[in-house]
This record gives sequence, structure tokens and C-alpha cells, in this order.
Amino acid sequence: MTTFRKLSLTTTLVLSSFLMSGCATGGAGMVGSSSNVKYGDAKAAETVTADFGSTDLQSTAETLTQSLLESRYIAKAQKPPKVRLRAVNNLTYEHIDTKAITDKIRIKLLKSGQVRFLADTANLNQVNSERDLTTAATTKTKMKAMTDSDYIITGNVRSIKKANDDVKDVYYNVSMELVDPQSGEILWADEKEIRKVTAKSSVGW
Amino acid sequence: MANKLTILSCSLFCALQLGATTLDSDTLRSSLSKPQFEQTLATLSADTSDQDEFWYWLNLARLQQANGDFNSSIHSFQKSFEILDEYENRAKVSLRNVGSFLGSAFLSKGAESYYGKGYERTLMHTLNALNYTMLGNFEGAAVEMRRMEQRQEFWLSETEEKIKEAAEEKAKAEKSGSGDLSSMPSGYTMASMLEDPSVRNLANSYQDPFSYTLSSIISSIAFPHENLGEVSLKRALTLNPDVSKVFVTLPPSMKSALKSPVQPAKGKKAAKGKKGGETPKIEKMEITIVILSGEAPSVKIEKIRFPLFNGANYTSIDLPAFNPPINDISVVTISTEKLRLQPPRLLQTNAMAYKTLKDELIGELSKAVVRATTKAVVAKQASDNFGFLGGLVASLAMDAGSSLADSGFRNWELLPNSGYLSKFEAFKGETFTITMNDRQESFTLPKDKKGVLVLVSYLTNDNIRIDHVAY
Repeated sequence: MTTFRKLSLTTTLVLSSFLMSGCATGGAGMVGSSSNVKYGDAKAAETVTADFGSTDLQSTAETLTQSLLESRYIAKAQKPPKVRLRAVNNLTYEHIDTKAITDKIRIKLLKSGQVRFLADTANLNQVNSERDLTTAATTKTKMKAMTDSDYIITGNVRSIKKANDDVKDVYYNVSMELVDPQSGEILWADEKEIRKVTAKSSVGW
Repeated sequence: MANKLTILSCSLFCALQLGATTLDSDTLRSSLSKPQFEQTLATLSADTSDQDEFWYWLNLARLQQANGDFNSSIHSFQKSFEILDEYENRAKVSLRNVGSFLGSAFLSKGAESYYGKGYERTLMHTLNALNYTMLGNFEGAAVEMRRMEQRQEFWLSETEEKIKEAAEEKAKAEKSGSGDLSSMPSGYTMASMLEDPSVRNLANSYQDPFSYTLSSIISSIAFPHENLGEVSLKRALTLNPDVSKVFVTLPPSMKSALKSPVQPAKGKKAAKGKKGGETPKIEKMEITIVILSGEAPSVKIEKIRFPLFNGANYTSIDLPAFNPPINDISVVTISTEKLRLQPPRLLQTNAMAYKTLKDELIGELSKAVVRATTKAVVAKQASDNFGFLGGLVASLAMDAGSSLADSGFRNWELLPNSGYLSKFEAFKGETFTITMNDRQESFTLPKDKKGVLVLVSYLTNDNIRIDHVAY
């Protein structure tokens, strides 16, 4: 009887721990494997909706960065110019986080080593506050160096939407410009065009 | 133990009740005054039974906005936008749309799901733009205004189609000699309202000068160096010449006084960097005041019952109608130190609602005739087979069934009925007053900003909230 009880207890414990481990982990270093979450390729084309998405963000940043780096003002500069990247205006029909576009472009440009970046206007106040705390770095020359940029990059995202009973067409145009802040001259400009078309199904729920 | 069980069961019951509570249209509209507002908002937020309805999220969004909870209001507007987007992108032959059409054609108007009329769909974006504005996100607000303008363009073609269909129906009816559908049925309470000059004089049922004017103002704040709002302003002026009264500047005499040299006070040293006689920076700022007041007409299904030729059976023509707007204000006055303004009522939701109904009435009437005929045939069959009482019971059962279905047919009942706009110049730091009917509210301007946009949410005479954003 005692042997039987021990056997029952052991079986129960083994089964419980097996079930619990099954619920909590699915293998070494993996949590929640029973859920439907999966990792996907971050570079894969995303076509869930016709809205501005991750693929558009990546291709825009790639195209415009490459074009800018090839421009003579950057490629043939004696030393990496100081650049300030302004916010990209969202002139579309969607709530696009345009900061994601500028951040991606900034990272790509910085990684190239061909430009230096100054803090954007929004961050400048925070940088100034930090500087005020350090007495060593409050000379006017350094302050001027922080605010003077060789070039300014600005941009716009626009879209045109058309739809009829069968088809919805969205056209995006992301344009950027490199401007000389002293003269106001536009030194470089390029654009990335994206077109997305969705068709309505004939019969459905 | 028994006590614990009682508490537990009571809590469970309360939770279930709260989850199941649905505010009907009349209760919702009559529970907006200050003492009831919090409870109304909580009950509506907790209502899970209507969350797939377009109007539910719109009602909730207005209350959240009037409560100053702009993020939640954006979320609710987004939900209603998603419901509408799903509806507009359905398959060309959608089984749901077919079912809804058949149900509304033969059984009851209430079988239709409500996806809003043109003016509600556009005002959804206008009100959401105000949420973004109040959060200081003018670019986001401009996106919503662009959506509003695009929807109006879309609605233009859709309305033209409906007017064309109505004309065809009318021609067909005249040809077949089945009566003049354009004449209102006797006993229809909306008849005189739909012929009101304010309704007849509207250019169309969906374009409102309020949204276009606000769009132009928001564009000028979001993108001050580009004239993106000019087209919107021209459209607004075409729709209502009173738009020109929205923009008021300080009198020229005041401007010259502002620009005159300021001498330092006697015995006081001039401020560092400012010498006596130097022209100071003009200490004026631009103020935009948006007043959203009252609640728009709420939709209802009106039954005009009439007896059939024999027996006690009867049928009914059921047509959409409106309960009148509530809690609105009739006059607004804004007083500053130098100006006294009466901003025009640019948003006239009741007129747009009645105009929409007037445009669609012929189509609605033809559907109502089909429904009445279906009911009459069923009642006649019941009368023939089961006698006098059978006909009456069949008539009563169909009447009760359709009334039940119609009670769930609701629109955006908390949409503001009026919108007033004013953009004027004032001195930094001064206090101005807004008088709405007999209520007077004061607001003191900041001293260090270029402009201020003030949103006044007037739900009832005792439930007014003023929010502002400076830029």
C-alpha cells in the first residue's frame, strides 16, 4: 500500500512538473512558445494594409541616404560637414511618425562617417540644459559651434489617395532637400515615390 | 461565510449589470448635466454590448473630449474610423450588406446597421482634429482635417449618386402612376421642418463651413510658412459668407499705439538691452476660440399607422425622423479689453441632418411602401386563414417586432449641434470673457506665447469645460 501511495505521489509530481514546464517554457531560453507570436524578417516586404509601413520606411531611408551621400557636397567635402536634420513634415492623410524616417536616415548617415550631426531643435534645449550644468563648456565659441551647421536637411511626405468602387490607389512622395543655411540655396534634393494599390474582392462577408 | 457569499454574489451581479448596462438614446441625452456626467461617462465606457456600432464610439469620443481626456477621445474616434473603414472596403457583393438591404427593404428600417451620414463622417475628423490640437500636435490635427476634406470629396460623388437614384425613383413612380413620392405622407412630423428655409438654402447636406474654416486655421498654425489653408478658407466662404466675420484684428489705432516708442518709467533704469525710444516687440497675440455646443438631433423611426380595407388588421409606413436638438445656445459674445465679438454659428448640424433626410426621403419612402405592403400581405393572409383576430394579432406582432428592431437604430446623438469660431487679436496676459446664453466664462491669456487656441465644450448649461493650448 505504501509503495502504491509513493508511486502515485511520484507520478503526480512528475506529471505536474511536466505540465507546468510545458505551460511556461518550450525549451531552453524560450518563454511562451505556446502563443502565436513569431519572429519575422525585419526586411521582408510588409503588405498588411496600404498605409505607410515598415517597408516604405526602410526603402525611403535607403534611397535618400544613398543619394545624399553621393552628392558632391557630401562625397567631395574636405571634412565631414556638420548637418542638422529638421523634422519631416507630414502632409499625408495618415498619422505617420515622421521622426522614424529622420531617425533612420540619421543613423545611416552617421554610420557612413561622411557627415557629423548636430542635435535637432527639439533636442537643443535639453543639450543646452546639460551644458549649463558644466561650467567648463560654456564659452561662447563652443556655444556657437553647437548651433552653427554647414547644412540643413528638410523634407516632406505627401500622399495622393484615389478610390473607386473597385480599386484604392495611394501614392506617397517623400522628398528631402539639403539647404545652405547661410545663402538659403538648395544644394541637393531627391525624392522617393511609392505607389500602393488595393483591389476590393468581388464577393465576401 | 454567508456574508462573504452575499458580498461576492452582489459584486458579481453589479459587475455583470455594469457590463450589461446600455444607455438608450433618451437616457444618454438626458444625463449630461454636471451631477450625472461622471456616471454617464463611466456607464458608457463600460458598455460592451454596442462596441461594434459606429455611433457608440462617436458618442463616447464626444464625452471624453468634453471631459478633457483627449487621448481616450482619439482612441474612440480611431475605433469608429476603423468600423467605417471596414464598411467602406467590403467586397463589392458583401453578404452582410445584402442581408441588411433585404432586412431594411422588407422587414424594418432598424435591420440596417448605421454607418453615419456624410456630415457625421466628416465631423468625426473635425472633432478628432481638435483632440490633436489640444495635445499640441498640430501636424496630427492637420492630418485629420485633410481626411475631413477628402471624405467630403468622396461624399460629393456618393450624394450625387443618391440624388440621381431619387430622381429615377420619382420618374419611375410618376410613369407607373403609383403616386407622387416627393410629397410627404400626412402625419409625418418632419414635413414642415424639411421645408424650412434654413434647410432649403443649404448648398448640400455634408459640407460645413465650420470644418473648412477650422482646417484653414489649423494649417496656418501647423505650417506657418506655407499657405496650405487658403483653399479651405475659400471653400468655407463660398458655403457661408459669415466666415469673414470669424477673423477680427485689433483696430488700426490700437496697432499704432502698440508700435509707438515706450519710454522707461521715471526714476527707473531702462532694461538691459533696451534703450528708451526703442520700438518694443508688439505684445499682441492671436486667439482662436472654438465653441462646440448642444447635442444634434437624434434619429428615430416614426410609424404612420393606417388600417387595411377589411378587418382589424393594419400596417404602417415607417420613416426615419429626428428628435430635436437639445442643450444648445442661441448667442455667443466674446469681450476683450478692446473688442466685442459675436462669432457666427458656422456649424449647423440640425440643418445638415434635415437636409440629408430631405435628400434621401424619396428613397426611404419607396422602401417604406415595400415594407408596409409586406406587412399588409402577411396581415391579410392571417386574417383570411384565422379570421378577424388572426389579422389583428399578425399586425400587432409585426408592429412590435419592427419597433424592437427600430429601437436599436441610432445615430451620433452627442454630436455638437452648433459650432462657433472666432479668431482675433488680443494683448498678451489680458482676460477675456465668453458669454453663452446666460453663462459667462473668463479666460486669462498667457504672456509668453504667440497664440492660443481655446476649446469650449458646452454639453449643458451647467456642464461647460474650457481647455486651451498655447503655441
